[in-house]
Amino acid sequence: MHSFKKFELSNGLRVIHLEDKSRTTIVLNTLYNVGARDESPNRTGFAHLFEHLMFSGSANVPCFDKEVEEAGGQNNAFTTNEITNYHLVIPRENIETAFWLESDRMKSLNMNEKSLSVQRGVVVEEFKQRCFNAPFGFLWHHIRKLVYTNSPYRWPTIGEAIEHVETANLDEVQAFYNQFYAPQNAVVSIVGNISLRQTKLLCEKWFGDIKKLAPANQNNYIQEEKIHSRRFFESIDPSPNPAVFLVWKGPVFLDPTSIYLELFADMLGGSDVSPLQIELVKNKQLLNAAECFYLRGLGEGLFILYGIMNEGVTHLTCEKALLDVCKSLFLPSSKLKKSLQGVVNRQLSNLLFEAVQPMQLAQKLCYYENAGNLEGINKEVSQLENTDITHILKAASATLTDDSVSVIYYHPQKNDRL
Amino acid sequence: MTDYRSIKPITKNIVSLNAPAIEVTKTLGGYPLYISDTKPIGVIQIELFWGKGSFHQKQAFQSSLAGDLIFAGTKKRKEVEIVQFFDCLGASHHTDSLFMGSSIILRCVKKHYEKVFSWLLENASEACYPEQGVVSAISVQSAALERQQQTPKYWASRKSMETLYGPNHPLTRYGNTDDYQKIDSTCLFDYRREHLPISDCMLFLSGDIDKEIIAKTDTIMAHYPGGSFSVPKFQDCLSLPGDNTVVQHKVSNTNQVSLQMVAHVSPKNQKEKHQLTLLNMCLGGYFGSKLMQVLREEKGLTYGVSSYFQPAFRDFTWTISGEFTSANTQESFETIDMIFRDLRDTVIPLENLNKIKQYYAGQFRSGFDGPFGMSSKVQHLLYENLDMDYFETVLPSIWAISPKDLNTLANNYLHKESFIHVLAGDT
Repeated sequence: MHSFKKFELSNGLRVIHLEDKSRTTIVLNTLYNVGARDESPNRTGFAHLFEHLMFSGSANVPCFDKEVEEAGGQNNAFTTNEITNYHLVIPRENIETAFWLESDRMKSLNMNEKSLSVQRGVVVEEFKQRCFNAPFGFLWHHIRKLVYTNSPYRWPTIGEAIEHVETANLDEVQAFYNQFYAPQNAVVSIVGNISLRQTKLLCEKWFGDIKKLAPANQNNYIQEEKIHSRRFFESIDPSPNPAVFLVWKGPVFLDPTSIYLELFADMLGGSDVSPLQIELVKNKQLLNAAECFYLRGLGEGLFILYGIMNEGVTHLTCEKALLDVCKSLFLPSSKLKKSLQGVVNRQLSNLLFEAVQPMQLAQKLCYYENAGNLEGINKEVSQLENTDITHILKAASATLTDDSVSVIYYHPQKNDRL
Repeated sequence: MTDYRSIKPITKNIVSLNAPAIEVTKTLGGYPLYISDTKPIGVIQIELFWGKGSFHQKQAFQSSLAGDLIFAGTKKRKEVEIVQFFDCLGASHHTDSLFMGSSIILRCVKKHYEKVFSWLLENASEACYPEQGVVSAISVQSAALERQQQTPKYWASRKSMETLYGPNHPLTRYGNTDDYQKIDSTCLFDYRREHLPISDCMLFLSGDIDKEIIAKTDTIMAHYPGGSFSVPKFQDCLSLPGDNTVVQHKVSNTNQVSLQMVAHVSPKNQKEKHQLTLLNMCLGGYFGSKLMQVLREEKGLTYGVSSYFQPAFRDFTWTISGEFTSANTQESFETIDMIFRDLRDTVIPLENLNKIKQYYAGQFRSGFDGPFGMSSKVQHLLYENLDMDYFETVLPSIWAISPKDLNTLANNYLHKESFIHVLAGDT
């Protein structure tokens, strides 16, 4: 059980505090309820570009990173389709600097043509590095475009096209900040060697005077219908190996059945001796990599199962083999019960390890609060312990159907990179 | 009235570590044992560490595969049985293979420690590498290597090291996909028997450790007579001179060039090592470094560029690495040269140096936080053959370095002609 305390400032900023006296550091984590799903279709990659701009200085802090470094701290950030998360890890004696920095950029970010121009360049280089120069670099572009047709989940965080970022202008950036970067649209967590009293004082001092700007993000976006017939896409990639990716839509984070799909993915491919590995990689040697996982998001759930094929194996054989192994788990058996017990035990053990990692914990607290279910973080153990194999198989067989699958075939591009 | 936000909060310097004293004890059977600061968190991590690694292998991939497949089967048991036992009890394990060290790391809940640790030792000590497991692992890993070889960065790293040290040097045994075909059960078994016997390991225990756990560890280890752990023994490392060599390696259909500059560095003593650490930070060792600030934050030429030291026996390979759009390569090279000149010609302002020291100190101290932080630090002491009180001396040594020290060092080391330059990608 995590013994956190939550309070809210008059401007709507929600704060979660968790004390750990054994640490020399404190984590100040700030999550904004904004991600790629909040972008306009011709300005994709914008939330991520904005994440970069948040380090360009604010009214009283010309250089954000310099101040963090002078305090002996470190910081970073990430953007997903749903949220943007910033963390600061700082020595406990210099915690006030963290509050000063994080609150100043929430209150008055300093945006200008120069910083926008530089960060556009940086993000374009990141796009090239991640997408053009890596095997399967455009995978998420293909998956999202195939699975979603109208919803803003149809593009990846890095952006649908490099040109969207290249042409972003200052007015658009300012409007984005005004709309989303406000206290009522954020959650802050403070985890580490700091008391609740001091946390409250510092929060009031540094975040208390920041005004509400726009209303909190209501996350209104187009909800799509379920997929009722198999979708298919083929791609040519510089990767030397052909591959098959199978994707299904599933329940969202707050839906209790979403955890069943997470457990099913773990049973199917989460261990060196899981059916996926044993059957397809080790025994039949059809594949040289096979994996599956469940992406459990706030507004989307995606079950992904893939295999990278050995020479001579056709896409059709690979697809059939992946589906066969997956479906072989749909029927309850004593072996499956044993497998579930292992998966549950592994996850329970992971939760114990996670509890001693302040940064992960701080991010998770913010995530749960932003999802509207902070208490859920303390129900994870009982949820796992009460899971029955029939729940899992019911959720898996209802979700992973032949007529709702989206299939991507990757063909290796003839190349001379080697 | 002055806005209180315009006044920066006062920051305190991190000048000392004050970590718990380090004491390496022994199990009753004579195994060296380090127990880190214990916390009642319900989970335990145990690491078995050997001072042997890829340096000791006779052929490429032998060391890493001997570790990766340590639970692939024994004469008595198949992989499925061994791994499912760990899985059922919620235990996870992984292996690490370094140049001069190898580890098996096990994490489990406290109540299953005895069962899980016994199981680990029993199966690791009898690993026989069944042929089917080896064939399948080779197929998986050689395909992964093929994919890695699609990236410019892989070739930039490889070509730079091969040019600096020569293709047959122990530091450049990269291996190609066809080298996997030379691996078989016998060579993995021979490697394990020679270099990874249980009797030669050291134990690192951390997490929820109490007297009972220590007693159980003693009892379990008593089945494996030994205690012949030895710290890694390093030899002198020879490199080829930089001579401003430029190597180009074409990787088709790429949008960027991966740039690497490498030079071999032999610090004269511990003091110079600390000075080099700070000079490297100033150059490209963190976000506020000159490389990042000029090439990324001022010019927007790259997503990431950095400099770092790779261990090369007792010495280091000083490496500068980044990815750039092909058309910007020349400008990037010129900028790096300009930064070198600047560090040689200008004494770094004290305020800037203090920022670097403070950043370093904060990161250094936080590395000791948490129940599992200390174990890896102690391993570093053994690996580098340092005194047990070494860590307490680091921060005072760092704070004693002056701007002039760094300037002298920059004049000794930072010349573009001392580095080998490699460009891989769309050159």
